[in-house]
This record gives sequence, C-alpha cells and structure tokens, in this order.
Amino acid sequence: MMLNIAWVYPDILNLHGDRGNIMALSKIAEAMGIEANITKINYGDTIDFDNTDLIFMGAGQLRDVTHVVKNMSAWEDNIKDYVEKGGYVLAIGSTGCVLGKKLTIEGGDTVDGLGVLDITAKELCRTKMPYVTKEVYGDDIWWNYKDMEILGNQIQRVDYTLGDVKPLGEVMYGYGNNLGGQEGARYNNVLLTNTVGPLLSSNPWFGADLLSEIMESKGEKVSTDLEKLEFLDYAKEAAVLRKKFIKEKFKLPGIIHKA
Amino acid sequence: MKRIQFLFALLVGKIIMGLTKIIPGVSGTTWPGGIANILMKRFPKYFKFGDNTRIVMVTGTSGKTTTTGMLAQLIKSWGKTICTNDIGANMDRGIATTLIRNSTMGGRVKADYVVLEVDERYLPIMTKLIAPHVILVTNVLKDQSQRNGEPGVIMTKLKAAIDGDMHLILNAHEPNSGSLGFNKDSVSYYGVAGDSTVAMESIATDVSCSCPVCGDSIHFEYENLFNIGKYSCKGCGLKSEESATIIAADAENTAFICDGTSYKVKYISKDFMYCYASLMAFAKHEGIDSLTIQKSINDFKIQSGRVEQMKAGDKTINYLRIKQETPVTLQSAIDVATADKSEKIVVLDLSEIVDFSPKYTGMYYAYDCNFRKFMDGSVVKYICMSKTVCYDVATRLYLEGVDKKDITVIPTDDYDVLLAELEKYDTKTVYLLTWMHSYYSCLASIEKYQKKEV
Repeated sequence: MMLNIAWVYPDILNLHGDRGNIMALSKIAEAMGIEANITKINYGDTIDFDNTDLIFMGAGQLRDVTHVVKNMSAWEDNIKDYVEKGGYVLAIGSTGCVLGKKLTIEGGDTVDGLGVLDITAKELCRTKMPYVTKEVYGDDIWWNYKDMEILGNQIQRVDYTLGDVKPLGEVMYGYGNNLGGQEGARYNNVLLTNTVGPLLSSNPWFGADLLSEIMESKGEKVSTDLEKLEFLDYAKEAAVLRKKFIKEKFKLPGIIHKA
Repeated sequence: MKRIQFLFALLVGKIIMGLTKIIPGVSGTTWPGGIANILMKRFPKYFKFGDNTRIVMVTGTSGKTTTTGMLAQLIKSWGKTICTNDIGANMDRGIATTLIRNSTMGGRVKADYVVLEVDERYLPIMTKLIAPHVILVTNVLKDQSQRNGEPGVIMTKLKAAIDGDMHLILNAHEPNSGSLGFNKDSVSYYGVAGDSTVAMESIATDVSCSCPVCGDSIHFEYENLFNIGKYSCKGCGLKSEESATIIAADAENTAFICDGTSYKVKYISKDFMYCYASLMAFAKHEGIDSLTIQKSINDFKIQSGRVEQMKAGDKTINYLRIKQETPVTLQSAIDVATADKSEKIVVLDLSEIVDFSPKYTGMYYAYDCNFRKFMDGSVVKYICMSKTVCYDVATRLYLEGVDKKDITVIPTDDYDVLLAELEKYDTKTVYLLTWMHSYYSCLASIEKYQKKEV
C-alpha cells in the first residue's frame, strides 16, 4: 500500500520542529504496512493533486503568512477542488492563517488567506492572564479527539475564530483556539491543530487514525493497531508523565481544564 | 525638577546597592536599578556620559554574554576604562543597576567605554534612553518560543531599535542579523570560514529556514552552527555579505587566523569562533591593534557553568549547558560532544521549561537539531533523563535512527540516580547536555558521590 504525502514548504513551515511529524509519520506508516512516499514542495513547485493522499503543512512564522499565501495562490483553485473532493490536509499552528479567510495583525492590518477553511485569525495581544508576553502564549495542551487523548505543546500567536467549520477536538487543558474550549478545526478532511510537540511523535495514535481514514478513502482497510511501532511505548510513557505534569497546573488562574 | 527627581532615585539606588551587600537573598545586580526605575520613569536617560565615551550595545539570541565579556576584556587590555553589566543582568533593571554602580553621586558615568549586553526585547527601549554608538548583533534565531514566539517578533523590535545614527556590527552568516544592514550607511559584518566540501549528506527530512526578506528558502553553502553559515536566498538573492571580516579556525594550533595574523585561543568550538569574529570586527572598527587583541584573548575567562569538566569516580563528565527552546545552543552542544571521537556515553537532560509561568513540557526544539551527528559509532549509550520529557527525548533519538537497545530512560532529575546508572558502564567519558539550573545540582551530587567513594 502506497501513501503519497506532499510536504508543503518544509524550510518555511518548520517553526517548532515540525519535521518531527514527517519523521514520525514515516514510522507510523511503516508499522501499519504502508509505504509513505514523501515529496517536498518548495516555492515555485506544484502539487500533483491527482496523486496526493495527504498534504502536510507545519507551523510557520506569522511574518511569512503573506509570502506563503502568495505562493500557494498559484494553485488556489486546485487545492480548493482537492479539499472539496475529500482530499486530506494536516495543518499545524499558524498555518491556519494561510488556509483560513483572514488574519488581522495587531494595529488592524489584514492579510487574506486562501479561504480553504472558514476561520479567521487575530494576532495575539494578551493583556490579561494567562500570558508571558503579549505576543505569544506557550503551554501544554491536552484535548480529546474521537476516543483519543492528545497531549502536546502549544505556542500560540493568534486567536482563531471558527466560522462554518467544526472544532477538531475539545480542550481538556490549555489555550486551544482562543481559550474557549475548542481545539483546531475540521472541514471535510482538512485538519487544523494548534498542537506542536511534534504532534505525531507525541501522539502516534492520532497519526494512525489519520492514515487509516486516508487508506479507507482509497478503498483500503488498515488496522490502527500500532503493535509494530517501536516508539509506541515511549509515546505512551510520555503521555502519562505529561498528564501528571499538566494536572499539577490546574490551580493556575485563567486556564481551561475539564479533566 | 527632573534633575532633582533623578538624583533622588540615584541616591536611593546607591543606598540599596550598599544594603544588598549585607541583606542576604537580595540581588545586587537588579534591585538597585529596579527601585530607581520605579522612582523615576526612563531613569537611565538622565545619566551623563563623557564627550568621548563610546557606548556599545550587544544583543541577539545566543552568544551575548560571551561576546560582551570579550569586548569588555578587549577594552581593558587596550588600557581604557569600562562600565559593563553583570552576567545576565541585561534588562532594564540590570542595566540601570550597572549605571548606578559606575556613576558619581551626580549621575556622571566615568568610563571610556560603556559596553552593555541588552536583551533583544529590551533593545528598542534602551536605545531610546541611551543612544549607542555601536550595536553588535550576534544572531536572531528561534529562541524561547514561550516568550518570543518566533524570530520575526524579535526582528520587528530590532528594526525599531536600529532606526538611528549608529554603527552596526552584524553576523554575515545569519540571515536575520545580516538583513538588518539593508539601507544602513555604517555597517560591518563578520563570519567564520567553513568548508562546504565536508557538509553531511542531506537526508529527506533536512530543512533550512525562511528568508527574512522574501520568505523563500535559505540555502546554506556550509552551516557552521544551526542556521548560521554562508548562505544565499533562492528567491531574492539575499546572501552573506562578501566584505565581512572572516576568521578561519586553526584547530591544529588552537588558534584562528584573521587577515593573515594567527591568534591563539583557549576555546575552539564554532560558537566561540563567531564571538571571536565579532570581536575582530569590533576591534577593526575601533582601531585596536593585534597585540592588544591577543592579550585580551589570553586574559578572557569564560563564565563558569557553561562548559565544565567534572570527575565522578572513574568517569569524566563533560557538562555542556544548553538554553531550552533555543536550538542553536543544543546543536552547539551536540557539535562539541561529537567532535570528540572517543567512546562516550551521552546524557540528555532537556527537562521541563520553568522559566516562566505556566511551566510546560516543550522539547520540540530538539527536532530542529541534527542528532544524526551522534551516529558515528562512538556513542555506546544514550541516557535520557528528566521528570517529564525523558521519553520524548528517547523518541527523538529513535526517530533519528538510534537503536532502542542503546537508549536508557530514567524519569528523574535526580543526579544521584544518574551517577548510579553510570556505574553500570565501563566507558569513562560522559557528555551531559543539559540546562542551566542543573549545573549546581549535578555538582552537589558529584560531591556527595566522591565522599561516598572515599
């Protein structure tokens, strides 16, 4: 079984060790008996949408959103068509600003996104707790997705407001999209999450579920059983320790926790 | 009125400075300036400097403290008087304290040079209070994500700070720093020669960084440190400035060569080389001769606790300090450890991040670094320790290709446990890559261990 992954702008959308997601995804696919074929897409390149099963976009800097949108707009119609036909996209962090409708920068200027996702973003300018500096909120995050617990970190530079899309998950602890209890967004098979860590090295079960969905959409049945995944025990142990660490922070003011 | 208010704030600052010497637990490096800043807004603005006093500010992601120390030593060796800040006291309170300590009761700073290490977030504030003659930027890289978010945030602040009449000394090998020289009249650059022929074979998951001007990919001809090396942008043509002062490391003679002159050094690692290169660019700009430079290099002492060698029984522990969330420091530590080809144990204690509230478990910066360098066969065991992120670090190693049987995970930050674990192995050389706070707990454990041995 073959899975074609387009890794979009790996040099640019790589703010928080995002290449770790690709490293983990390769191992997860291998453990599931899937051969992952990864193609880097750089500025000026085009995605072969007809032969792509997953588009991966890591987190980038807010300063680069304009450049990324400008470059991706060359295939704006193609990616919208890909998404409407059920193509899979996994996007991390501030890349939601690229896929979303609009980013409002502090001071009021706006940057138009591709409009693939009906979400808007506003640059963070926190003046109330919890915060470290007004431009960023960094913390752990714990959220539920289907029957899975997802744990990782979040370095948030924007507040997301969802339009006609569903949240990807429910926040058990952390900031999520905007401290409102929702994490990420899902429209058709576009999945946006704020979780770094990287997401898939910390939560291989999320990767397995995603690959299983993709393969099923291709008419192939695969098991999400990861018994052959060698780092599964590390990930499970890491999740236990991270949850313990997070629970010690429940008393902090201003943080959402439902666990 | 302002003058009287300033003199009062200064007097209070000086009294507190005296009191900090007799009151335990009160920092003499920040409290006097902190109180003075409360008593008077924009307090540092009212100090007076001599007509010929040169004011230099050093800023950037990494290497600020070492560079500031080197510049201070250079100026002393040159026979000039200097006012410089204490290690780490690089924000408003620390800088105000430095000025209080080095001024008369009338607020006159008596020094030929004022050399200030300035936190990059505070640079725009400081340059409005004190006009610098020279700003030296080490680099602007991913750093303290929980505080800075991304390098672009810092670039915005630096651009605001350098909007004045000053000379800039910039790292020609780091795209963000290098781009600050655009449309500036008075700029000099520095760099370190590298060898593009010895670059590691790239693999599918290798990545670069984005251009600060056009957002396209930066291509490194060679990379001496994380995202630092001779570069060019595929999109807009931004590239390392050719006119830079370039030094070349001479490892065989523990020296570097600049403009045909060899300078003996104590520290040969590449991060130190960039500090030496910035020193040379500064010396060139100020007109300082090579004999003075060599004397200052001889007399320069590194801050303890960054690179240390400790004995624990038959083991030699090489402690390499990293700054969490800052990949350049972890990569430098990896480079130092892997430059030693002898058989070794590598201990990774990346730990939780507790600098700010909320503390959290980020270790994603490890994925920015190249762990492949460990795979030369000389590492016989990897030990991942820390209370919470030890298994994440083990995953990182595994995903780079390390065999799980070579990885031991100890979920603790107790160095007694580490020393007991090390006893299981015959290998004598240990590299401990860890963060700042662990240094003293490590020392304490070793002291206890040595007593037990006796």
